[in-house]
Amino acid sequence: MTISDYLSTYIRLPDSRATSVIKEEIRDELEFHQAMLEESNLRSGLPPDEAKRAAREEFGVFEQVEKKCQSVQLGERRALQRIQAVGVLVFVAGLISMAWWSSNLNRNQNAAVAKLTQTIQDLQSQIVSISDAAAPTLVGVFPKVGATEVDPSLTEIRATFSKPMLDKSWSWCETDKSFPEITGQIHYTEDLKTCILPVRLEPNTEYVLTLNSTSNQNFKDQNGQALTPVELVFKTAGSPLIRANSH
Amino acid sequence: MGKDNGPVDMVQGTLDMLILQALRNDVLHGFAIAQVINQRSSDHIKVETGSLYPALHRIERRGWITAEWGLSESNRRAKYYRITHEGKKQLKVEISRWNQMVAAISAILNPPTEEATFQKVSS
Repeated sequence: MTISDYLSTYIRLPDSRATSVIKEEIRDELEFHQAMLEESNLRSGLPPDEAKRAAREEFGVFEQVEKKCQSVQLGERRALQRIQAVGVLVFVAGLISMAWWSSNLNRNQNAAVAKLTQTIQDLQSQIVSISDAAAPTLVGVFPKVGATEVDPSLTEIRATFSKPMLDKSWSWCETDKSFPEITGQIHYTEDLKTCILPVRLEPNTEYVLTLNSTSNQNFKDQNGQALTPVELVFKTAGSPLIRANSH
Repeated sequence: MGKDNGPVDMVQGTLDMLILQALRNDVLHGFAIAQVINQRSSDHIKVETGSLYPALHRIERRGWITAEWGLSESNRRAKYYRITHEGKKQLKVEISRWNQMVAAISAILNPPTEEATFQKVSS
């Protein structure tokens, strides 16, 4: 037996005709057989009713024969349909598991992103807390330290700090040198980073004042950390150059 | 087992051979195939429809016979079967196998007599 013989004997493709057509042909063929039996009985001299009854009896149970023939003709098709059904089930199961795996992956990714976000937030809060932990520093002052020829008509002295300061709290301190005449309410700007001292200045005068001192430390941030004392020295117009030092 | 005792049961596996033999030189529908087998066996073998048609469809699927619809002698639409080249080859195989089986069974049922055996040994 050649390979093609073997294949044609044991591996047969299902009949390409529609199932309904095959079933109809089987029924037609069996009905023909039953009719021929009946005709034969009539030719033998049986009366029509008896010929019909005898034909049916001789034929056997029609539905059983029909079912056997369908099993032969449609068996491979049914087997193939079962294989296809199993294939579809496996495919659907594969899709479901892929979807589940994908959603699980997304969930894990989301969890990882959430964890990273939390870590970043923690780090940021630590940075903020480190920043908060640092003492405030003086980042700018006007008039500048050591400035000469300062316009005596200047009405404000401004000190700007590295961070928001505690509101309504300051220590503009006098020294043994001249301290400007205070003309108004000392206050902070809205961001609490700049403190304004309203003054009236005299011409040709050297002013020396400090922001905080060893005994007065009310320039402090909102956590209560005080500014290291800073000396502010400047001279109004017409006066000799002055010296500026910070402690 | 004989005509007086009614039709004999079909020996399993021989129906395909009988169908192929009935179609060896003729194109027949199922009813005619059953009749041919019945007549040629002098009414000893009666093929049941419950066996005949599944067998016809099975060997058609195997390619040993082909089928086509036509009109019967009584002008009815009938399915006619024709043996193929493969079917003829298969028939030869089946007949050969059957003859071997018959010879083997005959040998069992008709053993040589003791005298014959003795004579055979003596000679």
